[in-house]
Amino acid sequence: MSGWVIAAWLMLGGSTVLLFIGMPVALTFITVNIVGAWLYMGGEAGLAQLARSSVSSVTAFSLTPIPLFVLMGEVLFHTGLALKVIEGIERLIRRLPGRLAVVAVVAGTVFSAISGSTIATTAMLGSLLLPVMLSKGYHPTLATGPIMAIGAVDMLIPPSALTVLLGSLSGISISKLLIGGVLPGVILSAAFVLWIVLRVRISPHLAPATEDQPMHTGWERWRPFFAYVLPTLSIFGIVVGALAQGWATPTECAALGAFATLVLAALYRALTFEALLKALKGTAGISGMILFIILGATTFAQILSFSGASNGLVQLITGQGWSTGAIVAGMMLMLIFLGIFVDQVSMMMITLPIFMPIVQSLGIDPVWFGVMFLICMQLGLLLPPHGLLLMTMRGVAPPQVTMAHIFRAVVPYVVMSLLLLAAVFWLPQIATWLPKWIG
Amino acid sequence: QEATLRLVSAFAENGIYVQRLQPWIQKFNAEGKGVLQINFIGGPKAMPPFEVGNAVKTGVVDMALNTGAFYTNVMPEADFLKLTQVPVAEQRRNGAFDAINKVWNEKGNMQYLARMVENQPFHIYTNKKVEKPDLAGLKIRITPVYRDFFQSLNANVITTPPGEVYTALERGVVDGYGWPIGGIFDLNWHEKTKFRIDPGFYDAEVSLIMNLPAYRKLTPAQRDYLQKQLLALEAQNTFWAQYTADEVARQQKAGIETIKFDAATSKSFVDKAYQVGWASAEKQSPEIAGRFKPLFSRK
Amino acid sequence: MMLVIVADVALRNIAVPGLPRGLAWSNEVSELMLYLLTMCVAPWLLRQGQHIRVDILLQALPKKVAWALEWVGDAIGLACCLFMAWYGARAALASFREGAVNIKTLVTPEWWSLAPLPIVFVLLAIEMGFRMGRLYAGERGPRHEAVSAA
Ligand code: NA
Ligand code: NA
Repeated sequence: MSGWVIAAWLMLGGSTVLLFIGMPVALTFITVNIVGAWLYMGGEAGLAQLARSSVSSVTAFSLTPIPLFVLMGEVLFHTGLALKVIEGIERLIRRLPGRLAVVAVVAGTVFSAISGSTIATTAMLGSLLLPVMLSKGYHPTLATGPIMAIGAVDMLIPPSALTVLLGSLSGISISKLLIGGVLPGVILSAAFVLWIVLRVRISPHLAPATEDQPMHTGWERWRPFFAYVLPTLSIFGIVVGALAQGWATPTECAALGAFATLVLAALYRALTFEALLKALKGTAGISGMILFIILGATTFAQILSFSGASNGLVQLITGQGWSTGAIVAGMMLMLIFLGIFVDQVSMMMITLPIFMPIVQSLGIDPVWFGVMFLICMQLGLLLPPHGLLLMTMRGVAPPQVTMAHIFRAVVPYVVMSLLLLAAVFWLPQIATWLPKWIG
Repeated sequence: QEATLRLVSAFAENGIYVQRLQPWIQKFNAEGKGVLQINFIGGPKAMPPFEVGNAVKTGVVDMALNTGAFYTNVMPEADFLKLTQVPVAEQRRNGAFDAINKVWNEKGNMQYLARMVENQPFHIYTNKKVEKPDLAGLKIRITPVYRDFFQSLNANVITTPPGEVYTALERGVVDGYGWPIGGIFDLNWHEKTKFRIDPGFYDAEVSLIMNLPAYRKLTPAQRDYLQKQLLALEAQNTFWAQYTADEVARQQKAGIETIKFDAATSKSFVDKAYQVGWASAEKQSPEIAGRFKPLFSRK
Repeated sequence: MMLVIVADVALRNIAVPGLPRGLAWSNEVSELMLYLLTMCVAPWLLRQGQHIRVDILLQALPKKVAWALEWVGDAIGLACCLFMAWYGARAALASFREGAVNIKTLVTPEWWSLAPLPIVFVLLAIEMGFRMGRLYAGERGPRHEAVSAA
């Protein structure tokens, strides 16, 4: 075996074994880094260099949006602003088949535009809307499916901490990835709404129409929309607007967005000290965890490249005479397969050090590739048995909802996500048109 | 016997510097069979650019393609190399090269092998027309290489990651930037640039450096072979004058206008650049700056 | 960090008499804060079991086997933390001895940025010890810890 083959087995194989015996992801990569630095970077000097490179991996301005995006979502949820948004949307949507399920999808899309956390969205909608739907006689599959599905879409629509993470680990333009996720995200939301309406038209018993809702008319109907939904959406406007007007670079927009979220919460007098503290604590936890993984993962990719394993693998794969489309399809299949077993961050850690050099050497459009990567990660959130949002839903749903209900509920949405993935594969413009247009 | 030297680059592999180095490495390895080989490990994806200097110092790698501005954390003097005004061939004759190596040996545990980029002056690129060398009211993106000089021209200086410069220019977050004469096309910055201020100042320095113990371990035959190839590399530096001319023409074709001053203003502009450069060098390391200045400056 | 960036953007676009136009050091301070945030939070997260991991295999295996694997993982983790602490300390010490400085907009001694890493990995190693203690005291099965970041 040539040197790089051993290095590849040692580093990729070693990290996979450690991951599956349940070591924390960050420590897994740091452990393999230590072995790799010792072997390939010259013993002790290599280990000292590893420590230095680890420090420089997280001292990176391009990562600053991560805590800021997480903060936006945390503030939204801990201040109870989210509840008001649901109310506002609920009053607007009337006399639609499967009305409450549609409300969940629309409210979830609005949250997505402010929140960077898929779990928060699912948990919030699940605990607020699910009991109402069940009590009104909605079938558990129709009640839980949309909530989980729209929670996953949160990752596609900016702000999204995972998108920033993908961009910084892969070297794909973060702002283009963020903008590239918008259109696929909105398409999915629209498809979900369409599906719910059709499904209930065909089998009305799934979602009995209820007339006992208080009928608000005129201003009373629109007031919460203007008082809460529109201002909340305006934060999304601030983030995108600051970009377009030239007040700030993409990174700085995240700071403006977080600041605006805090100001808005304060204006509603919802920003209690307690809520702020909870939000800050949640932010520190989530972003600290992501950043600690980055510390291990960035250096992992460097050592893998240093050992010659990256180049060796890339030449092996690109030298097989497969077409670019086949290679991309193969990478996506691998991601979907991985998504069944491991979480989104680990998916990136395991594949990016190999995928990105291939993407570069084949001249594949990185934004196109990145958006498909995002859709695969979003799928991973929904795939049984390990899909994180399925577990989240299990956690917040009342006991009459069984795991079988949840698995069955998610199927149509998984199919729609797969169709979207295929659509982006054959029609890259879905992913690349908006980033090109905005610049 | 044959030895292999591991080389990393602080510059991206698809950039002009590495592209010019690759054929040299191929020739080096072809002619050096049984004597000395170079194993090119990679660019920034194998090692963070600002860590390359330290890696050479500690022997994690044997050789590196690097620029002084990237290893000021090893020794602040590294950045002084931008102030050379005489060609490297002259530096080897007038003692500048030896003076550099004395410092590089002692403070950096490294051997300064060869300079592979010359005649690549820095320029100020702006989107607002200026009549005289005064940047008051302009927001200019800088790197530490020319921060002091731009500040002395009254610019509001901004540091932005390279990846965000394009958007920053497009949205007017910055009005301009400093960059060598070549390279703005690599990052598509030309699309968002209206003017280039002439003349240029300083000289973008890109050199090969080597871990000192690794250098000393070479046999006389290996060292002679290395030296022969290094001189051959430097002999190709005439390329850069042509490259500058090509880039100037390309910028003109891309619609970038040149802002020129009259002869006296131009001279005082350049003089001021070096004066400011040496002043901050003397502040950081008075003794070494004093040694370098007469050797680097034009007679 | 948020406040620094917002102030920088505001100052750059709105001229306030008596204040500079923009904070040239805001990027550097932000990245430093990001690094310090990562360092400060890491040991606390280990205590909370919030460093995500993949437990699908542990949940599938017999409890005793999973428990044994937890020990293997912890032992490797402890060694990993000690190695990082030791070599991180050596890198920081070498930098301190040589008086290396980071020359950016702000000029700072390089060891300032290198020193937090070994300190944090010492804390992580200590916490790893407590973690093993809790594993010994607890039930003979896999832990229930965070499994995702999304
Ligand atoms: Na989002
Ligand atoms: Na998200």
